[in-house]
Amino acid sequence: MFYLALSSSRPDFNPESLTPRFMLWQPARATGQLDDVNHANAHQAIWLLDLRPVWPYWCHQAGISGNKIQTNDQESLHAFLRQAISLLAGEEALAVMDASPWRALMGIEVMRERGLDGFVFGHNPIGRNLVNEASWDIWFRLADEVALHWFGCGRERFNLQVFRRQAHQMAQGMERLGIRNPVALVEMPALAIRRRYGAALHDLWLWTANLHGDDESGLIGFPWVLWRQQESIQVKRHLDTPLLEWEHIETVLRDDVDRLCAQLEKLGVGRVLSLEWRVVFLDLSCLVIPIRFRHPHDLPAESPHHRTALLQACYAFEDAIPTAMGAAVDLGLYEKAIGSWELLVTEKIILPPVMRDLFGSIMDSGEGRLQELENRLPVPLNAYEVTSNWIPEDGYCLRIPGHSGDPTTELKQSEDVSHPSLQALGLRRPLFVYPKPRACPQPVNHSRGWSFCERIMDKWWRSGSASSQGSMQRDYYMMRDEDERSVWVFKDGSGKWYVHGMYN
Amino acid sequence: MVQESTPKIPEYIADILAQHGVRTATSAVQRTSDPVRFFSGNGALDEFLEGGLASGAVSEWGMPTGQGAREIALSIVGRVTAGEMLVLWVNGQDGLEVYPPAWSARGVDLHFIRFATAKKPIELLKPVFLEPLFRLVVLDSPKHLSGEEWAFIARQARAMEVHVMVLQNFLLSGRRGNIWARLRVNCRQRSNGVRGDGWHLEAVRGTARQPLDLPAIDM
Repeated sequence: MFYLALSSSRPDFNPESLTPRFMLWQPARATGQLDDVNHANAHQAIWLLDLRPVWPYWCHQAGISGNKIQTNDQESLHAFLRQAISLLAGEEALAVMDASPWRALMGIEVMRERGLDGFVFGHNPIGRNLVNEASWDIWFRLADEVALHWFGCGRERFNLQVFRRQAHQMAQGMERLGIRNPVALVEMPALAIRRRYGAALHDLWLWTANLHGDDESGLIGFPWVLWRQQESIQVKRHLDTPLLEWEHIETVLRDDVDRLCAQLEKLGVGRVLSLEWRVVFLDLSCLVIPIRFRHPHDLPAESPHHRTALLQACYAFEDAIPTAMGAAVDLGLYEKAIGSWELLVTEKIILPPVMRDLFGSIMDSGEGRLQELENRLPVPLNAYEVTSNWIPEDGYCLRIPGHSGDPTTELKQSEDVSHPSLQALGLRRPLFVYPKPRACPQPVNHSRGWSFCERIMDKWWRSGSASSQGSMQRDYYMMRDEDERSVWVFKDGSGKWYVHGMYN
Repeated sequence: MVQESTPKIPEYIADILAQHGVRTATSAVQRTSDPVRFFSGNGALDEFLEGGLASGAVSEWGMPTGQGAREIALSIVGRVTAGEMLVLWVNGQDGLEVYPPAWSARGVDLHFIRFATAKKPIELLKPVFLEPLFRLVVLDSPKHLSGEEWAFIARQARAMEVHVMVLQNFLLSGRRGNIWARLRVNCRQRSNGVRGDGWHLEAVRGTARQPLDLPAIDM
């Protein structure tokens, strides 16, 4: 549920108040007849927002703890977002949130057509019905908009004229077959669409066929053209003495971050998600060092020490400079020092005063401190949750607070049926596994500590499943290897052996 | 008139003394309350661990790879997470990743544990030790901790009132000491078939004089 399609009549609406990653999907169209609300809605711009980078932050602001999942979290989050959107975009704004941008856009088009307003969640029955009732007219209109974006961003081997001709043929086909709307045809394999109407419509059909799923693969090829503000917030520095050592750079960079903060405060920018540090060496070669924060970071609040920003800058510098130095050595430029740089804000969220009133002082809580700590680290602190899935590699996922596609919810629903058996499976499995099972020779000495653990079947219906190669079945064993270590091995259906984990 | 004063103990000596329960004048002023104890839930094991792992201290564990000995550490982690305290597990094992369903099945509340991957934990995760956010930090198979790093861990554990467990991939030796760890324990599986029939714990440093044999069923 990370994509938000939003249409607002407010001229001062700025999507950057919600996320730094957004695109203008459909610009406002000029019209002479703005006599009623519905008609006005039909000509408002549609923004498409990607909330993934700020999702934990918003969940936290909604009072959802990352530690303890409450049953009413979804309601709290929905209520918070509804309130935030109405404050920012106005009461009469149209907004649809969904796991897929395509589906969110379909939802908003249906709302427009029916003259509805408000905020709808795609996973709710109302949201599902909205998308299911989308007509072919809406589908082809949206398809044409996608095609325009593809054309604009230069999709490979894409011809707008050909696409429009194929879309017209498809529309005629649907009319002849008497198929009322896209949902009625959702079982149609995407490959059949590709054969008849080409690759572009095939991609669109993949997104459509994935209507009820959260699979990220359903978004491949989506024409994201991120909005960039014309005026950038930046500072420039020409160094009196060339620098290369971090200890020397740090002091000067701290001053520049401070100067950047002064600009941010003037513009009322709330939090920063990423900076770009454009370094120019004495040989006039340039290096762009991205400085990223895991969670939106309150840069001015850390003035003047800027510990978090400088730590991230240091990690990024140490990662990037050896690469640049290597290139310099290749070129015979052994003395490579920094002569000047530019520091600019690339991703930020602007928090208007109304939003600050909505938050209160939640950020001071433990979860806020954890987010601040994560911002200071070069590696993530991962939280996981268990899914109701018997395949070892699908048995868990990274936990995202307040995520409605959250498998924990799924687990809770199916708890009575499958949870005890999954717990029993978990007890027999090792604490540590290899990310990808490693092929190993067939164990020869079965008498050396050997115990059968479980037999599992792969998901034969999954595309690209191993079933086609006859390796759908896995027999897991616990055995001791030649170093007396207890390892978790399996034999697949084709008789090949793999080490999957270790009982450490 | 000459003012009489007590000789000042250097800070690093005070740190070492504090690790071993000796309170200097300064440490007595700084620490007024008894340390929090982290229990495993197994009476015999808690007794062996001097009444549970104490906050503000460091323990070093010899747990060779593939012996299933981390189950012992997990029993403590499980209890800490059940008490809704945050735990950080830093995995430094080569090529291996944690498998959360197995952790959850062994009683670890996944809501209260965070995982990081770092072979050099102090270098990468220094800010973690500067804040008392995690009550228990487990450094699993760190790649050679230097003397300075041990001193840093011990000092920060004491200052932040957290316990740091360092799990080594080898058995500890009494010949090569570690002044920073208050408790040093070797732990291995008692071999009897592939699953083993329990664990054998031996204190290299600590008050426990006798080794402890824990049947698998007790854990």
